[in-house]
Amino acid sequence: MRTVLLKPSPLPGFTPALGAALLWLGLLVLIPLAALVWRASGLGLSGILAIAGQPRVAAALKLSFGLSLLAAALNVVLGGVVAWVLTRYEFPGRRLLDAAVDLPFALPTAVAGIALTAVYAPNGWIGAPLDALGFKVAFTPLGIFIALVFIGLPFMVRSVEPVLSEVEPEIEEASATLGASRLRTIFQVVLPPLVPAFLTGFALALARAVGEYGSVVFISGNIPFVSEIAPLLIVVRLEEFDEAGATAVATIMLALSFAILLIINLVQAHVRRRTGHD
Amino acid sequence: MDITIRRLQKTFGASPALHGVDLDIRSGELIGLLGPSGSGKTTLLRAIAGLERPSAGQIFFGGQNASMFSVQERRVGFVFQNYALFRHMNVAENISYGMRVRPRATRPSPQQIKQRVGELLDLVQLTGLEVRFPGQLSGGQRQRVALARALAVDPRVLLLDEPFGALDARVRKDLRVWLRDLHKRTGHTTIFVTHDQDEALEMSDRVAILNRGALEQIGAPDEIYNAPATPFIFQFIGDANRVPLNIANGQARLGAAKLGRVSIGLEGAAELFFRPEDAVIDEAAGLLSGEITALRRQGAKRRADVRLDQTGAMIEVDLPYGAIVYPSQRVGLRLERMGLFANGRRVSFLDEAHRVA
Amino acid sequence: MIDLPLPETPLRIQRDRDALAEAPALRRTLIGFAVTVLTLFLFLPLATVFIEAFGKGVAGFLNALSDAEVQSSIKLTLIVATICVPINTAFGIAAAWAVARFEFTGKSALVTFIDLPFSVSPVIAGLCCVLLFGARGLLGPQLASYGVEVIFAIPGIVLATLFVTFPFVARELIPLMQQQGSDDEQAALTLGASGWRMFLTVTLPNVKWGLLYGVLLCNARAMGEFGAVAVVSGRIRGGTSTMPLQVEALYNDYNMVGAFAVASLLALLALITLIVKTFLEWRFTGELALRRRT
Repeated sequence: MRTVLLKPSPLPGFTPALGAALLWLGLLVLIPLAALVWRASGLGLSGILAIAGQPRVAAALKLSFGLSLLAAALNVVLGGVVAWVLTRYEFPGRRLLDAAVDLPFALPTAVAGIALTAVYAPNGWIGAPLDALGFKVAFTPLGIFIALVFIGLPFMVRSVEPVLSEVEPEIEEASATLGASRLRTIFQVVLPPLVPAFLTGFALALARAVGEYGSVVFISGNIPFVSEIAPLLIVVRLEEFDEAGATAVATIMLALSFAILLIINLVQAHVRRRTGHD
Repeated sequence: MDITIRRLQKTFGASPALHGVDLDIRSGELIGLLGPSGSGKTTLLRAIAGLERPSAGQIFFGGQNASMFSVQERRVGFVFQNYALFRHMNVAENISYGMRVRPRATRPSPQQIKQRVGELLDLVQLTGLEVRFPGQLSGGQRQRVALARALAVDPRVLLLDEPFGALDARVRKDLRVWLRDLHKRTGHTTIFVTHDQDEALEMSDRVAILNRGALEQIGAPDEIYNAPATPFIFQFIGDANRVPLNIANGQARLGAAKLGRVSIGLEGAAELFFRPEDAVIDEAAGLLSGEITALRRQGAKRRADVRLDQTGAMIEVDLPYGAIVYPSQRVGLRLERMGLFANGRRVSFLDEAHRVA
Repeated sequence: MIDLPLPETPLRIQRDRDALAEAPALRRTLIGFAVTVLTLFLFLPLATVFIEAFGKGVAGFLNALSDAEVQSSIKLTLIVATICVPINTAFGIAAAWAVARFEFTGKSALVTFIDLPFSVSPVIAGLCCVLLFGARGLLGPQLASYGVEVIFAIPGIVLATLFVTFPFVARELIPLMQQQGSDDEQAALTLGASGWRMFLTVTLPNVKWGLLYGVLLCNARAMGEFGAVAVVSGRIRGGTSTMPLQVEALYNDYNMVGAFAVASLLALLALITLIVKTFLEWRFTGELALRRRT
């Protein structure tokens, strides 16, 4: 790589634009994050691991990451089908569905939280019939799972949709002329090239789910060891003025998230390399 | 496998893409479907493959009505313009796909498949590239993988949509010769679509020319070039001069000059077509004359623009090697071959002496 | 050669595009499945908000909104959004100009850092503010000695909101401006326009719809942020309680009509954002970046 700092350009304004961007980025994002790093380094690795080993912390982390992975996995199917239906079929109400997919992006999390709770509570529209069947959703881990699926769905749909709509019809036709049934064409020809898009959606949905707070705390019931998620534990620790504990939980969450995202990125790079792209 | 197409129609919404095409293709023939864009040639090819369902008419493979069979059942080899290779499968997986997706009862064994892939790679001269992915191949190599993939199902007919459209000129010329040669060796009935007349004339046993959804002429390349059936083909294939003329009392006239006798009943405006190489400058010619307005070189040929005295029409004339002519020179003209068309149909001269001297 | 005879009779009569489309039954099943999923996860919860808000009629709804605490939370939310949205819009434009129009060392790192707030939990964002400005934070004691309060006060809420809404405008503008290229701007320069003039008369008009959408998303998040603000605000009712915090407070008081009435205002904001987005996409397909992730 050449050590050119800035490629010459006839356009003006690079220095002030970059300067302003870096200043804002530094003040608003990097310095606060640095405070977390500073505090975490004060605890030391052993201090953090000791806190991570506390049963309540370990239970919360396991719950958060376990349910987030499950929710992202379910969203591969749900989001996949929704993206497929929205890009492939023309039917009345398609535009409305398409617009509605973004609702979890736009709806404030606290609103989503109380609304999901109302719907899935034992006296709610869906909660009541499920309760009659013996399923409790709200105030159990299942409720958390529902909220995490809700929050992750648009990430999956919006990652897959554009790539799916760019699939050339010719490769489907080629598969058909070679004698493949429609289902085989979908599973062997259309879907495999979409794996990177699904991985992107999975990673985004997962990252969001792990850190999600507002839409979860109302429906979760927040019982330690059972339905207490890691972000809530941070809040609890802060309310107890245990900043060290909060910092440790936050640090572990970030480390685990980045580790998982790194793994997904490596898988993605492998998939791309294997098929001769980039 | 011979292919018979009867009164084939295809309508997209309100606009007809094909109306009433009849075409007979003999087993083992290499047919070029030639036409300008929007002429319906790709629609015809896709209808044969089963990728488009005709609005009316039939397609027969051998004696069987293929219209009844789905695309999967037709066993056609289709090579797409952009190749449509499966980019997540390597070359061997692409080529073997059509064999692997067969129902278990008719699926070849893995060893048979492997052997067949080897044979096909050998045939398309890509041996050794089994594990490459399409993204790692050149355009010409991709084209040959697509061809091998289509041949792997032992197709009853091989259909190629603009097979060289996406390649640069040099590769294109090499592949023409190579494909012609491959056809000779494998003997598959082959139909290819092109908008390039040189390609169609050079490669095909017979050329079928489509215009606005209708078949205008089918014939050997020489036949098409030497005796175009319609004014459209005269102008579409090769260069042609078009001169409007008049028919009155059974006599075709170019201005005052009498061109020849035609059947009684053809009255009014008509068109005369002739190629620049069929117009010869001849001082002895008495019927047609004109004035050279410009001289040009076009590759191997020298050309003169001539204004005809008889009607004032501008025509192009090829000059023989070493001809000494100059602008504003007055010349006499003789036509070696020509076509006379009235109402879009070819009209023959009744007198044998229709060579204009 | 491997021979495969043509079947004697077709397996089924071919329908139009039969081979290239799913069977109608499968197609209907998939559409039904998608509609069901979206109904259970999106439409029902949204409908609930409005139905609960009017659970005691229009009077109950208006009564809930006229509560002094609610009024104060609405005011605070508007103040926070009024501060945060312009700041992050200005940043977003500056960052997009630098990233989309220039090639420089460290550009991809800059883009990664801009996206960072998306992958950090809002609760952790709030925690960072506490660690920085809290009573035992890095700068907190220092500022307190000057009488400046950040945590459990409005400045903390603003800082936390700035953090979480940081990437929205830049994320929207960067792909759009990269896609448009700089030909128009270079043309303006060759015609003698000054840098500012080029920016105001060429750059901004070209990206105005994408910018509007980015600002809307930024605003929706600024007004609706819960986790980060919950951590730093101290939830002082009538003082540091924003609308989402007020929703939580009323909900925990079992004041359902009040909670959902405030929630319905926020849901309405989300709906307006979505409607404008849908309209912009329908009307200006080419002028919004094609590939988007919020």
